[in-house]
Amino acid sequence: MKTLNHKSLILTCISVILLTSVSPAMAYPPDNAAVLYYKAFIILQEPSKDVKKMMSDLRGGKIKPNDEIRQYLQDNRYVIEFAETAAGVRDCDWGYDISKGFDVLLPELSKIRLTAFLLTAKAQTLAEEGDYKAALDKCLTIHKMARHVGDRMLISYLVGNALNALANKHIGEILSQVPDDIETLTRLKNQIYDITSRANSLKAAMSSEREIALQQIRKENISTVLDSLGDGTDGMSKDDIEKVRNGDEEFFRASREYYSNYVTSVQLAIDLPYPQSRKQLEQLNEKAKKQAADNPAAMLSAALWPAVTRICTLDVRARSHFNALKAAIDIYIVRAKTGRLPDTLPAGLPRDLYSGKDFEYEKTKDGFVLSFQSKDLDKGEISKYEFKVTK
Amino acid sequence: MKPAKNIEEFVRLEKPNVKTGCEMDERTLDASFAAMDKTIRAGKRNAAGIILRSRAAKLAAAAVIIVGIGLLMVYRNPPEHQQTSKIVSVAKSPAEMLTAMSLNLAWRRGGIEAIDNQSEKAFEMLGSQPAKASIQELLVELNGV
Repeated sequence: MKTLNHKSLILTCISVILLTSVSPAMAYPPDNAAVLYYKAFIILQEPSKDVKKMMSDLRGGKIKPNDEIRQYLQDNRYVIEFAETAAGVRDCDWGYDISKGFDVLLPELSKIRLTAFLLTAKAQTLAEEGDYKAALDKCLTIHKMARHVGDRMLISYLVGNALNALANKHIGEILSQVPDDIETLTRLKNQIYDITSRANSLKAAMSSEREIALQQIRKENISTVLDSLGDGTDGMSKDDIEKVRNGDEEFFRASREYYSNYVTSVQLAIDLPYPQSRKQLEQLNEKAKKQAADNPAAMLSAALWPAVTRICTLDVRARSHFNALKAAIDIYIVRAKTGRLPDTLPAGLPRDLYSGKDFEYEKTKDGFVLSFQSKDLDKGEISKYEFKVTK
Repeated sequence: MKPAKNIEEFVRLEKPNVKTGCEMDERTLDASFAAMDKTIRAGKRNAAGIILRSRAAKLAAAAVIIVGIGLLMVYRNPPEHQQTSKIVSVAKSPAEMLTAMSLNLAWRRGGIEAIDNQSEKAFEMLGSQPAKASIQELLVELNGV
């Protein structure tokens, strides 16, 4: 017994020594990705007007990487390095002071977009050099950054959504150049599935936005909200604005209740299949606008949520784009295994979320096309994604 | 109160209720020309002279001028309830351009590109560029040289 106690004591001592010997200075990366992103943003060099134009043209596929772009990427190599390390960290806390409501500052959104542009340029440069795996990794980093942008505010969600679209567009383009390589394709497929399983959620963003709004729709905060809205109070007359500004406690209670119910209805509507969801959201929007004329409690909801149908269409578009990419990767894998594109769409692939049906698959001279079976009602047209294959 | 003053007072007090526009202007002019034509047709001598000499015509001319001025005033300075209800946007500081609400409104105006443009403007105003600090420069600063 005595020996056992002695052994335990020694083991405990060794454990404590080992634990304390790992200096905090060696604990890299930190467990909050935002620290690294902020470091990246501090050293991020804004491009000159000419380079900015070149970067934009490169993203649009109008030009190939040139010396100026390569130099700009070289100047910002540490930014890319910090961003990649940050993207690999699980958690990201930007340090928002949510008590400020809609006045919370979000300067990182713009900087993260610029960093994403750097990464797409780097990806295109690497693809040009034939390093497709590294190029795809740069795009995957953008997806991870999008998740870090988060869904605590609706605007963060929308910026994250735009980052996903940017990354998916470039993954599609790089895939068109990748020679048949089952390992790279399988790795990409797994990463994309992992990313989408942990993607930001529109519903969560809406719930979060509601919490913030309900704190703001109060007598003591409403002047700040109205001042922030400024020209955004379209549809509200000067009298309406005065009514809101001078509202009593009962007015704000009723407004909060109306707002909360409105967001709940929107959240229920976005669960429906796209055409019904879109129709219901339009009706909700119209109803809120009409009611705002007679029911003062509805005025703030109408002013704070004017673009709900557009937001929901963007969400469906983004998720459908991910599905198209997943389906495309599977088709590329079939080609890598068999040496030829399949004649028909393989079974069990992710679906087009506009129609809830399989994508329409068509082989072309250069590769294949995946089309949606229903219209994107914002664009008023049927979208399609074109994928090329190497000869 | 004299008739001319009556009219002046009427215009001053009632102007918010006067519905301005081409129709009203045309009606006023038509009535004036009709009155003039009638006088000319009935007149034996110089019609203009008669008009100017006649007390009633002088009053009518004065009324037309006053109504015209009144209409002009109403037209150029519409009553408050006819004015646009939009709140004039005030110039924002760079930080205010980067708030959640401000970026939200930018998105409503023009999507993600509008957010990019607004943020770019804000950072331009801030003049934020990465500081290039070499060890040499830092040493100079620390030594106070």
